[in-house]
Amino acid sequence: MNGGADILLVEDNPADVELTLRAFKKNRLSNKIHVARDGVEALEFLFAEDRPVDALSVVLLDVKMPRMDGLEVLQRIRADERTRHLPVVMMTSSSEESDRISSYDLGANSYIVKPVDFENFTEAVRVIGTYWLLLNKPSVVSERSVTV
Amino acid sequence: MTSVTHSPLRPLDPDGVGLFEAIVATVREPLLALDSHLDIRLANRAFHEFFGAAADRVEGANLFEIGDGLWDIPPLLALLEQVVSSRTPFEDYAVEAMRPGVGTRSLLLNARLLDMDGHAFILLALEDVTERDGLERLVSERTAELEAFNYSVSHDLRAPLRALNGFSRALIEDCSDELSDEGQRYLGLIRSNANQMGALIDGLLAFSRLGRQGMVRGPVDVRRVVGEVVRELEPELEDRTVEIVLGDLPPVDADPVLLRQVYANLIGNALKFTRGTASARIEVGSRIVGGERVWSVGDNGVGFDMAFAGKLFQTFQRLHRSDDYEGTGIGLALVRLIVQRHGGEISADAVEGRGATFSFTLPEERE
Repeated sequence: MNGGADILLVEDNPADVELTLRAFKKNRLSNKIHVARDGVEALEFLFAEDRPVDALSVVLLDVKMPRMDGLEVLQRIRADERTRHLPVVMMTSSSEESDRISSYDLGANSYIVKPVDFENFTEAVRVIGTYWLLLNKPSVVSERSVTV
Repeated sequence: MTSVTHSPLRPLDPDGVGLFEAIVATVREPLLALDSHLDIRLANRAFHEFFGAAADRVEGANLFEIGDGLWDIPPLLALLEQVVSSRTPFEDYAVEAMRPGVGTRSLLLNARLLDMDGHAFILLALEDVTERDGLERLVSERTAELEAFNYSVSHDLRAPLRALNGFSRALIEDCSDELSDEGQRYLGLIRSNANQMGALIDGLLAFSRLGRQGMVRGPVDVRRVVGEVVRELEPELEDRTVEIVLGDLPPVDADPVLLRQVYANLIGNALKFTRGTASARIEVGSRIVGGERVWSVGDNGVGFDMAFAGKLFQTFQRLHRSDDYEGTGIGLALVRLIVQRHGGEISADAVEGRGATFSFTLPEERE
């Protein structure tokens, strides 16, 4: 798994979704981006029968969301054999230290505070994209042999 | 309880007025003297005032019989017996007591043994902590509310700003053909204002976080901290000639992260306000004044009118128009808070058009 090139963006704020998609486009990152509008939708996507999770390279996960927040989603991702090694980048508006610590405690790979300025935001997305889509080598675990 | 004959309480000093009674009567807290049978031998005025009529004729009665068994608490009995048998005093034993006409009060009890003329007495002091407990609860509730508010501010207010900024930018990029120069300028203003508000929110949060954060003092190599701060500010030195002079900067006992913030703000300000100065010069150093080390950052920039010096360190107060010098009005408030948390003081001295110098102290922590 997670040898794919797709991205899962979990974000409840429609403006942030649009801006993130725009930033990806501006950086000519043409990878397919799946959008989940809250934590519940994210889990539904990740653990769907047809295993779309196999096509993912990284999850961009907002922290504060209605219904189920990003920290709980992260916890569920790490607790499940199928998604245990999936790279998760927490992307949040808040610079709250407690969130950052909880995120790393729960096994986040990275924690990004989304800049207010769009140019800085675009640059952040470029760096994230380049790193997780091009440079990072995913963990090679024989998850494909895990019976579903 | 069986009645036993007791010797009357006598003054410690047979020639005096009864030092013991005098002390007991003077103390503001309700106070009882019990004998080894826990019979009340003396109740002070504060005790009578506290319990009113319920305290009438308590002298001679057993502690566990008065006030409808108010004090008939087995663990308290055990503690009091220990005071007598092993001379073990106790402190801050919490009980709830009904105060007639007032309501339930939280009391803390202290007790210890006192020998007088060969007789052992227990001194039992009551402290009403109801209001203190209430205040503490209020403070912790308010702190929790404030933290929730901070969280909300940091998250919920930044997201719309990002949208304002981002979509203004999108408009400039995608629709520039349809926009006049003036229209593009307006969009630029929307973006820069959204950025400014973002900086304000960040500054305010840093300020409030500082109030809650713990401080860790240790030896700090001030010269190195200042050197690092200057290097970080180098991008602002591009296309400028600024002479930065480092004077006496010995190590100091301070919180390294917070002290760096102080220098980053003060040196950052010095750079900002010397922008229009032909040969800008910034001096960072310290000297001993009246036996105390005073740290300073001075510049030969625009300075300010000392008539407004009182506003300098207040949150959101600015002495320069934002189209001349950008800023949030939080930097110096933050600097002052940090200096104060180190037990020090900060002051500014300036001449308009000639420069400004900020001086602060970082007193050694007294054990």
